[in-house]
Amino acid sequence: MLTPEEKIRYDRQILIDGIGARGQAKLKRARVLIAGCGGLGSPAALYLAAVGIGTLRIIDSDKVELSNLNRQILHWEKDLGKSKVFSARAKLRRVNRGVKIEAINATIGAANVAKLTQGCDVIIDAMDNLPTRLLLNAAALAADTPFVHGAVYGLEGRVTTIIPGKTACLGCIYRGVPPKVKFPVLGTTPGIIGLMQATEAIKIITGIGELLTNRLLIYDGLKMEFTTMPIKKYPACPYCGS
Amino acid sequence: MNVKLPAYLRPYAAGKDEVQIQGKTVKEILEVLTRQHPGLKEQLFDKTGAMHNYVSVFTGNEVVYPDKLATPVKDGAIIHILYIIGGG
Repeated sequence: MLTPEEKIRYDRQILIDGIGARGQAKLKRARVLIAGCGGLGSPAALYLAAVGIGTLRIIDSDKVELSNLNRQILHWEKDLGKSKVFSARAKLRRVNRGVKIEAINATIGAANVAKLTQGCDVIIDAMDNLPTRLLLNAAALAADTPFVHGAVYGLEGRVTTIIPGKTACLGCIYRGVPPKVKFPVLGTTPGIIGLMQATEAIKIITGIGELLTNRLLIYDGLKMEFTTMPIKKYPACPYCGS
Repeated sequence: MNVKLPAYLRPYAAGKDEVQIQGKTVKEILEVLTRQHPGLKEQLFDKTGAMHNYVSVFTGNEVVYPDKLATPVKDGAIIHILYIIGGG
């Protein structure tokens, strides 16, 4: 149920066909996990707070560093050295005091991933490394929780949405882990990709539109091209294969 | 055929995002590609000649699994090579 103030605040979203007051109430009741409070997590969290997601659970174990500031827009110069989740929580509370922020300063690992992802309606993969992304993918499949993957490199980005039991998962696309390298990234790239992830989360919760499932969207900022590659369940996938 | 390369692999192909290659199968096209741009070989294949499990190839809107590289490629098809990216 929306308050009179919320009906005004979210008026422009309520006007969208398929959302309405009912969809806005669904957003209010939802809990979205944003795994990673960096380049992808910052724009996703900012906009999900603004659109009125009821609870945002943000997880990160890093502290804000100077080299983060070209893209991690939730963190400012005054936050250098602070824990990212607490830096993020302070901004998100000022964006929308109606949103509950569950800030968890932790490293996601095999031992705690199930607990950290429990009770969420959507998981947004905003990590910066593939092993943790695959852990989240497995936890999402086990808990039957929709999972929105995003990743960036330079001016290139990728997004896909995974509905457990129905669609291809991250393991169907990425069957191995490449050597770890320090990745280059233009600040705007995770902005674009993180907001696509946030949009997918909103669509999952409200049930509107067509999800980016069984498709991998590739953004090439150098050519300003978007390509969508069809993906399908990999029979030998160690995560969802039969 | 037109082979499209992701940003990560372009420095190994003289900065090109697309390369024209003639060949009848995915395997043949990848072999020609890595002969033309030897730096790509290590990025796409391991020392035994098997494709790295973090590389994916798509053609004709289908993913080509590593054990299906002998798949014939239709004239004019576009081949996309994907390299895992994990940055955030």
